[in-house]
Amino acid sequence: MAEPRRAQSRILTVWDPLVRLLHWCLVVAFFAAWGLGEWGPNQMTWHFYFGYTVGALVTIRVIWGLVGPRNARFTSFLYKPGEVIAYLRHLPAREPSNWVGHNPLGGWSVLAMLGLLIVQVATGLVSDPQDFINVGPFAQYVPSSISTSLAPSIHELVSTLLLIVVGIHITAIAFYLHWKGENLVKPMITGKKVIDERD
Amino acid sequence: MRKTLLALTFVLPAAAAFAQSPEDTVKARQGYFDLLGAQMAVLAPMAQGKMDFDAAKAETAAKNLGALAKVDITPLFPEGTSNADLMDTRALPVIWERGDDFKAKLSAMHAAASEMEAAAGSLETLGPAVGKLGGACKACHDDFRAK
Ligand code: HEC
Ligand code: HEM
Repeated sequence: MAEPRRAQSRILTVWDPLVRLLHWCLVVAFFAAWGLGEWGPNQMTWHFYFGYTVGALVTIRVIWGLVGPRNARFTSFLYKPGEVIAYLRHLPAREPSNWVGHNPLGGWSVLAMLGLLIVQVATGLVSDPQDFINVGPFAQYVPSSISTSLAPSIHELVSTLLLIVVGIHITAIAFYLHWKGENLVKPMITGKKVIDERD
Repeated sequence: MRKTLLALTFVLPAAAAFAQSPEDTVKARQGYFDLLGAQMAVLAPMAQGKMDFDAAKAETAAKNLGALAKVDITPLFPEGTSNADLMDTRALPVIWERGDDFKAKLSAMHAAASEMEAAAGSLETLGPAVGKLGGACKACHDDFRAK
């Protein structure tokens, strides 16, 4: 069964090197920032460093989403609602999607993750937990009601939302692998994806 | 007169137990924390190199912290003054559910605050002492104070 398939398959480069590099750096920096925020030492210096790293990676990714190659661009992977619904109808089918780039559902989840990460970093930068050792560098420039209360509240809430969204992201990838027989992890490492062109 | 006296015998115990209104009690403890903060606002920027080290100012702030460490503020946390009972407080109800832990965190902060005076003489010793005290503030806020 595998043989005829391979004969009609093409190997495409779906993810450019920068997208892949940013993705895996983000994985490391995100989980490091999260773990250090929740369980790290009282002196949160390393939480700040990993948080800044996330901020830098997301900034570069957003710029790349505007000027990068096709599959990296927001305009290429943010689909209209109708297209998302059409894609959803095919989702339960036990066959690879053979999509090149982000599929209509994945595209929006990428935007959700980037958006939440921006909120997370922004609120961290202006948070003042009133311990005088872990004060966000820009906390002094916002009203104290924001720095001591609103920003930390949102920072905590969005940290939970991010964990949920990342959990969905990973579950979806496991679903594609086991249910649809489509490996999405390998392309994010090698950049290459085998596209079956039979249908 | 007799009536007044009789009335007093009922009112006094209640008044003694609740010398202030709950709202005033909350304000009093917040004032205590603000006083702690005011000393840290002097020491922390010096320790972090954001401000030049000023031995006289550091000493005053450290002495104040030593004095504040001697104040027992547990009476300012009577039952019924959590953020579930009152507005304008961030004290979480768990303070009363895990009272021992709360008091341990309070003692840890008091211990760190009383070490400050010995540490405020030089920048080398001030840094770690501020880190330790700040850590004690954070440890309690994380568990017992609403965001
Ligand atoms: C044992 C627990 C505990 C420790 C230790 C502690 N805090 Fe707090 N802090 C609280 C609680 C509870 C509140 C909320 C009080 C309220 O709103 O009723 C608070 C509130 C505050 C506030 C806000 C006061 C206001 O005006 O609303 C500041 C500032 C503050 N703490 C600073 C500090 C600093 C600085 C330290 C360390 C030197 C510290 N705290 C250590 C429990 C603690
Ligand atoms: C994606 C990046 C980040 C993640 C995932 C993250 C996650 C977290 C988490 C889980 C906590 C503990 C919240 C709690 O339960 O109380 C926390 C606290 C904190 N973070 Fe971050 N953070 C990030 C970025 C930043 C940045 C860039 C800064 C600022 C430099 C920052 C500053 C703080 C501060 C000051 C606290 C303690 C105050 C509070 O509890 O809100 N964070 N963070």
